[in-house]
Amino acid sequence: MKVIILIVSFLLEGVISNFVTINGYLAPLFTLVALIMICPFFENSADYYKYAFFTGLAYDLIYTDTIIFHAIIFCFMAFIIIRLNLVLSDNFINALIILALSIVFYRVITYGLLVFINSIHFEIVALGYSILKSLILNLLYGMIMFVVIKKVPKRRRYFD
Amino acid sequence: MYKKRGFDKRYLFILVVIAIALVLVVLAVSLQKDRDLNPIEKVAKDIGTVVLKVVSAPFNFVHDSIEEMIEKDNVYEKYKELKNKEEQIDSVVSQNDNLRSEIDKLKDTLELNTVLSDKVFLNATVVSRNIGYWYEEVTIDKGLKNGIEKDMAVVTPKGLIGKITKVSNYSSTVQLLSNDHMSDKISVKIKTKDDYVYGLISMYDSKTNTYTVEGISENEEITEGADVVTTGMGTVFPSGLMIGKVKKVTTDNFDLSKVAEVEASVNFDDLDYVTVLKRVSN
Repeated sequence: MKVIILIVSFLLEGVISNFVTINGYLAPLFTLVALIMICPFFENSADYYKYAFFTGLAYDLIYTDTIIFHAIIFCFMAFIIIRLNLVLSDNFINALIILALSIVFYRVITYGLLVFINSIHFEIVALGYSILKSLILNLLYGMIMFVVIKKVPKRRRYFD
Repeated sequence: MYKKRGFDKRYLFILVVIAIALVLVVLAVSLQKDRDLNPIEKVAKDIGTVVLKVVSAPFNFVHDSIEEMIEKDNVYEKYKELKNKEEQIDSVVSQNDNLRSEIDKLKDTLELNTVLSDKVFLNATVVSRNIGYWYEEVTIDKGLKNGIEKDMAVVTPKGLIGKITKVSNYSSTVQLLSNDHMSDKISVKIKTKDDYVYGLISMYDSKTNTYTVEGISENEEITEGADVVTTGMGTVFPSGLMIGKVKKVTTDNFDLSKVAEVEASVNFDDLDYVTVLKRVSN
């Protein structure tokens, strides 16, 4: 179940990227959304970090030209997601709050690092805009995924 | 779900510092402009491209069908427009033949093997666009096996969009001109009444889809709507590639040179099919 959610979201992110405009109002981050939504299905946090690392690695290798950058960032995101899940219980509103906070963290961290190594120029408006456009589509995807996951029997959710 | 364990905060701090340092080093190395993909990256990108092409196929079919339906509504207007163009095409073809033969003659006279505008065309399909948001890149389904090499210019029928930055066997990454580092210092020329004036692109503004061209001589007269094309100077872009049209002309802060705001001819949001240009070398 977890693997299927990750693979489908990973591929869907690539496909949807072809249909949304580059400078438009939507930016798919479905892989990250899937990683956030499957977090409660892990009984062991070490397994969750492994999933995060390998998903990030696939993201690096297939979608970007970076080497293990997303693998490390996704592990860091996994750390944040686990902490947020400890604080907030597993319900619809809290899932969306965790999703929104995680996307904001992800955007700020990646933007900050790219500015730090001088790959892009710092522009607060660009950062705010990127966060806003990431939230719209991904919160919607998160909502759909939450509803779909809830329909799956509990015992199946914990299987790989 | 998770067992809370006591964790020494000093170790956590050290871990975070090491992780940040590692990420920065990895990021700086992997985003180096002259870095080539390693064999693992090449294989992964090729597999990813094939999988994405297969997964995208039904989505593309639906998208193309919808576009086709919309286009069918305007078919009569398009027919009339094409009919008008058809009447002009004979004269354009003969003019083109004439110019081509003149170029050949001049090349013979000057004993040149190639001119700056000589190029070979390779068509490609965009497989994924701008994943990760910050990188301003697209991935195309042609690679080394199709004759694509690093630094080749990439265009659409409307004009220049960027250049090849990474190549694997069956896919390539195109960095778009909308990227901060790409549009910087591209040599361009602006059509004036009977000649061209030269300048350099200094930046791209995604909100207005415009480039800023600097370093234009103060004495030159530039009209709004003038065509802006590449000069062919430098090693990457051949000459004559459409960049856009002049929207506004101002002077720089010191009134020493003119600055032109150029509206990009390409819509970076609508890139489905592209053409890779290979400059013919000696």
